[in-house]
Amino acid sequence: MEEPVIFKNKNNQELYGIAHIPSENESRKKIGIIFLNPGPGYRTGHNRLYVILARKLSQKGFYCLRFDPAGLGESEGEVEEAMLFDLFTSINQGRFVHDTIEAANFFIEKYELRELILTGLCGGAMTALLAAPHCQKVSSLILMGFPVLFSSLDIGSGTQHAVYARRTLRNCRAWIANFNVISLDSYRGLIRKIKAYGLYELAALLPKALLRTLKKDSHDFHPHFNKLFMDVLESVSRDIKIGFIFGEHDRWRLFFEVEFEQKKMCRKYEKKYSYRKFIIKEADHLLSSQTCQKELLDVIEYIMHSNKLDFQFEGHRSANDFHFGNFPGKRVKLCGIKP
Amino acid sequence: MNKPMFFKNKDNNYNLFGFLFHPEVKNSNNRRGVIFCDSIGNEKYSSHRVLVNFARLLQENGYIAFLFDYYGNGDSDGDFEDTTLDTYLSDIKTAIEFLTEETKAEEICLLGLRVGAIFASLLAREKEIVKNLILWAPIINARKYIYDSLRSNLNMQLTIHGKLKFNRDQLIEQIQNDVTVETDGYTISKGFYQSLLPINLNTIDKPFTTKTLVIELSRNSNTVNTEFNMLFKDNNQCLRMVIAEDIFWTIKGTNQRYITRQKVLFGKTLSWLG
Repeated sequence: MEEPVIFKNKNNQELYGIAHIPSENESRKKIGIIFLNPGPGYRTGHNRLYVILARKLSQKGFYCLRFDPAGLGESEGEVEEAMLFDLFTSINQGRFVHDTIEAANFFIEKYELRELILTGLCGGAMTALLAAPHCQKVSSLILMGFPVLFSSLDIGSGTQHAVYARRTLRNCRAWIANFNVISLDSYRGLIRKIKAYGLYELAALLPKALLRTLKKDSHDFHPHFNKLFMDVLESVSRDIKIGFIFGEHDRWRLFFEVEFEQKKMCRKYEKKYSYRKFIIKEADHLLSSQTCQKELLDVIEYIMHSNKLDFQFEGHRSANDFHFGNFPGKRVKLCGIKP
Repeated sequence: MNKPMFFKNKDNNYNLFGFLFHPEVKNSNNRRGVIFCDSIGNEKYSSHRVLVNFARLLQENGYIAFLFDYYGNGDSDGDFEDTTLDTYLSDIKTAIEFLTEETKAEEICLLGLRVGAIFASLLAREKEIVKNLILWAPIINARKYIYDSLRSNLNMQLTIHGKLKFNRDQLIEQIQNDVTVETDGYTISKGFYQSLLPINLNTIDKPFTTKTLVIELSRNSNTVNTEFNMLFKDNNQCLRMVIAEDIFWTIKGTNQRYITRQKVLFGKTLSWLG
């Protein structure tokens, strides 16, 4: 059963959503899943992804909530940002965290839930992570197409990208160390970018860059890297299961691997993370095809049903160490990382 | 009063989602309802907030505004691949009946966006209670619309396979052979394709039997749609306008304006409604 719900946020604005309630024939698990808005759209998600997932999960006994934060969908409030880029940036800085906390409180209280899972695509994934420490009863985070950068690559000047490309090149030691984590496809994409933003200039700088890399002092991030999430990730991953899900052809996967995983794995970095990463074969950022949605559902269920201990790793391991025999579907690769 | 609700399409036995914007203050417009015949697929997703804001504006001006989702779209029951022209028209009929029953509205205006304009035009001919028709950036030729929408399938092929495995003609052939084809994550079925294929507002008999406002959005007057010309020939029921504002039903990247309302479009439409 689905029912419209209305609740207020801390600014006394009415927020609207749809709650999916498992039928009495299903074994109601008293576990709620909140789907968080990716960006400028509304509670259905791109390609009705959230509707499809919520209906399927509700049939399996989970309570689901899809809602619009202030300024989106039918909810009250306004988005003042003139450019989409600015809206995405504000979301990645936690714009919808307070509304998510209100939604979680409302959802738990109304349906007497004992456990909560936050999920979202892109900006929704970032909102889920940033809201997790402030929401009660959160047991898992399912983060799809997680954006580690504040903007897409089509934003910003060529100079910024040239700087980024140079810095990435300096980090070649990380590439070599993580060759088994990064797919060849990702490398091809990155090389294309380097070519586009000045290969000859990069080649001239190579000896100097290599020398610097050997000195182990390169911590350079992409100019748009969102460092905000790293502290939160460290603190919540101690108690909460975190599953990152990317489409195989999602460029955000490349940024996650190159800008976050590689740099964290190879540098003297004090923070500790535990999570799992799942790659959905032949899928894009929006996980739009029906085939991939079936696989996505399998992964989500797997994350929800697995034990927290499965998400905690000791020492450094690569992708190949984390193939699970009992996991449905051979097409999904898993990897975990704890620097 | 804003009221989200599910209501039933009794003919087809499924639930539709609707959102009613009912004016608080009583005035002469209180008996006039505007039903939004939205676009479909990702155009609906991208344009939703603009329609919500226009519904609010109508509400502030005393009109009853009703936004609803077709079967297989938005929050309504069903899957997109099971939709056909019949389900869309049946859903608009249901929305008209529901609104008149719920609010006692005496006059209905249908506001159609893009392909929703086709549905609204076809329905307006059948329902006497529909007194006004507003078409925002209407699709004239459904065949061309479907053909154009397959572009996103080509983009997806390039992303996933690095090359085109099927061109648009081959995709059309697949649909005709009952092989479903996805565009933007929405599945185009044979039923959907075949039911929409013959629709062309230029060739159907008397598309506008009611008082109609047609508004096109174009930043460049050279790109104004000449397909419309036939429609307005000898038709004094129609008012046609071209407004220099950006389109709001597609999002192509983050480096574009985030549009939540269109000042001129809203103003002209509201003043035409009177």
